[in-house]
Amino acid sequence: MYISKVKLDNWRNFKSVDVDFTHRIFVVGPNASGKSNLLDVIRFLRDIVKQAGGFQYAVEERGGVSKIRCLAARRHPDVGIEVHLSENPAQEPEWIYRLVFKHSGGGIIKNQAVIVEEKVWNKKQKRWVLERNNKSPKEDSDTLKFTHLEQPTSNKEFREVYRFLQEIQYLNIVPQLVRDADSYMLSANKEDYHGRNLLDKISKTAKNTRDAYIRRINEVLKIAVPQLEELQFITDKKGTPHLEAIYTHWRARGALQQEAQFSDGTLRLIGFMWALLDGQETILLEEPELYLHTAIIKQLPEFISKLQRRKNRIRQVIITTHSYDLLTEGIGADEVVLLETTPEGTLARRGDCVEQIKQYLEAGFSMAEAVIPASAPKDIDKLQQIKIGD
Amino acid sequence: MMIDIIVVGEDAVTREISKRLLRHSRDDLQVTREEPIRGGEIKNKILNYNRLNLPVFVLTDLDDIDCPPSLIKSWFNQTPMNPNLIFRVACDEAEAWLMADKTGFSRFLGIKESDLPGLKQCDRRNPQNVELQFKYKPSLYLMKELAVKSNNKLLAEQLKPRVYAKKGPEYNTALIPFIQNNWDIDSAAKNSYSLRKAIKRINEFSSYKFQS
Repeated sequence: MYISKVKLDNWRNFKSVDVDFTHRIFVVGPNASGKSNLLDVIRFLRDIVKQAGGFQYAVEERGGVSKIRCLAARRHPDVGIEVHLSENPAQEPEWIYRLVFKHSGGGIIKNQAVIVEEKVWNKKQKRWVLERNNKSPKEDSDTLKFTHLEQPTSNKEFREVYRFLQEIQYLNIVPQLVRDADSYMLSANKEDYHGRNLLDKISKTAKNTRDAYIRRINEVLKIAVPQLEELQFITDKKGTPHLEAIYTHWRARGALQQEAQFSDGTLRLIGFMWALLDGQETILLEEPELYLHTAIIKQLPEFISKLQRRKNRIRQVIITTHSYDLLTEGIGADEVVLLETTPEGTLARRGDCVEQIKQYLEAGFSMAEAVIPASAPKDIDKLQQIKIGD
Repeated sequence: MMIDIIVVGEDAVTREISKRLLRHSRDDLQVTREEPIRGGEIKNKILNYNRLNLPVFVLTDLDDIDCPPSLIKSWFNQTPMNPNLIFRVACDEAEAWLMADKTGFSRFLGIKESDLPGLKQCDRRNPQNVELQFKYKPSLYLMKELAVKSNNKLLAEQLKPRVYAKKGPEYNTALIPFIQNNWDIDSAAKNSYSLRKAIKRINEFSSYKFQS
């Protein structure tokens, strides 16, 4: 399954969004246009279903409803999220999950999020298998604090949605955090946004699978970082997991290095290769181009496409990017989601729905040429005129 | 009604000159995109821009080619120019249009007006059609011969290129304020025939063909 549509109301900087997704999506837009916020919707749903997560947790993690709700929202203060999960792009979605919520409390009453509506549509049964709203006599202020999605007793009829969301992977490797061995101990049980427990994840993977993945990562590293050889996974005396490789130099045997000595680019490459190999469902990648050489970035789209297509399945990958090099020739207009900031919130439109982009592509321009100038800040040249210092 | 227009130019200075010219001549054009992100593509991409069928303003340098018609011939081959494309060639470079405002530019850079090069006729039948006569590339002349004479130490440092650099370290930062605030287009136009023609073309431009 993959996420085939996302509809949003008042989510962060999106006042209203209705955008269709394909198996591979590149989200492009100026800085602070909401690329990460768009991915965050999917992470939000995963936070609801994950262990020790839940709806209230997911809202609190984001600083409460007031931080989530779009500043452009006026009359209609409710935040709405709807995702469609499909098997086949040509067919109706298998599932539709819809959640609407708002803020309650204030003053001496604890600030909380309350559900206004929660609905689940199933294609096989051709009906809404769940329909809740805050007007129903069956609900009270306590039941409306929890989604049925997060409760195994009440999500029986749509367990598939629950499982799918649990499997979603988000990866934005921050090399500094992977290197810091102490942060591994601190973050062992926390959410892994920045790859802090990438090593932990690797160590928890079954040995055979892990070896197979490391073998594949090695093949890539051999080409991309030729001076690094024989990457392997080890556990030190204290039980802390490490990645180790041989850094070849003028001495015959080279030097043994651990992740703390790996370069930023190497760590990121290892990190998202792991995510792509290990992920079972949708994978969210933030700016995979960071720290990498142009020549490697250019290879990424095909590489990602190959990794998506494993075991006769295609896993969805959603990528945010600023990179001219990443948007190569093999990318379709239906694989690009363009964000555009307006005073009334950010608009998200797919490349094949934007007239100007289509005209550029028809005139023979490449995807990068069509899309990157459209996503550049309007007054970027003024940056030159800022007085710094005196 | 506002007409959306795309500005295409090899570097930030060229694009800023284009934007100022468009603003100076018309109040119904609004720039929606500036391209290319990377330089050195205009010549290869010109036929794409020609096919685009959206209002596009391209400003390029004549450089070593002897005259604009031969540049157009080599870039467009036999392809007819799209009426939505305003294609202008600066003689010999966009920077020459800035220096053509002799009084303004010399005051800005802190040099004597007589430091700027003299005029040459570019059309024997029409003696009023003149351009500034440079010994070599006007932008290089600006950086290597004029900037060093400047009594403004900061501007001189910003403009003077380092070894093997093609431009001064803060070339754009130095020139863009002049383009935006001080450049007297009307007086520059008296010294540059190619600038006069560009202004004329902008004034005549209409996108009615685009809308049909």
